[in-house]
Amino acid sequence: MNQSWKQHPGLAKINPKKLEIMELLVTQCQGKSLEMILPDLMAASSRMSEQGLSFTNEETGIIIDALKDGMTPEEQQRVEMIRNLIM
Amino acid sequence: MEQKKKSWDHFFRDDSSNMLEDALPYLPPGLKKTAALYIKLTELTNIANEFDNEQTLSACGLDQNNASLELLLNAMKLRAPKETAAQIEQLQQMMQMMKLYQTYQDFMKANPKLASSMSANSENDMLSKLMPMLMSGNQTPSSQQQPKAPNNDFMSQLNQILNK
Repeated sequence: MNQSWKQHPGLAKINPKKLEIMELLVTQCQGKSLEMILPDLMAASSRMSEQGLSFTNEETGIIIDALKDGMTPEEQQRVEMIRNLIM
Repeated sequence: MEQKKKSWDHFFRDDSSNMLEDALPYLPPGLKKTAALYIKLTELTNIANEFDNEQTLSACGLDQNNASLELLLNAMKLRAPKETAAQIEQLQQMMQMMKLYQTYQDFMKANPKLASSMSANSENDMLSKLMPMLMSGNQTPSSQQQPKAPNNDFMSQLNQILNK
């Protein structure tokens, strides 16, 4: 499993709880198709919001990059287009 | 009876080209290629010489300035093979999303009080903003009827982290 995302400088000062959640997301979702991971991503986002937590643009980008490895080229392209639109 | 609309390239053929084209299937094998080349070369010459003529453009229906990316993509999608048509469809969906996002941006700029009243969390929660868009383009007919639930094991571990 690709762990290089953990070396990103943007994670140097991240909230430890958020880092743990990121790790869980990447571990559980890496290598799976977009359709399979979307419910987990939605649930994580929703539960975190309840506790006043959220990922910054940079952190979301790191998660997306880590998860893209397991996606089909079409899914990677779609994720990239949407990311460029939002961020 | 309604006349079938002519394709624009028909306006760059002359009678001899039309007659030759109808005769093409019945020509000796050795002449077919030459005849086909002649027909197309005549067409090309006519296009080069007459395309910019206003009357010709008007007759072809090409004199209007209908430049529109949306209409262009729609027209291409109708003729495209299945895979390409699917890609064009995706591109159109992206354009639609960009329009919506721009409308959202314009609305927030025009209503600064509304923008400032939004919580910091919801402003920064790009994941929540991304998810509906990711899901909207990813729904198969089966998933549209029965949205998948998150993984139980995942939820259990997530709750453990959040409840620490």
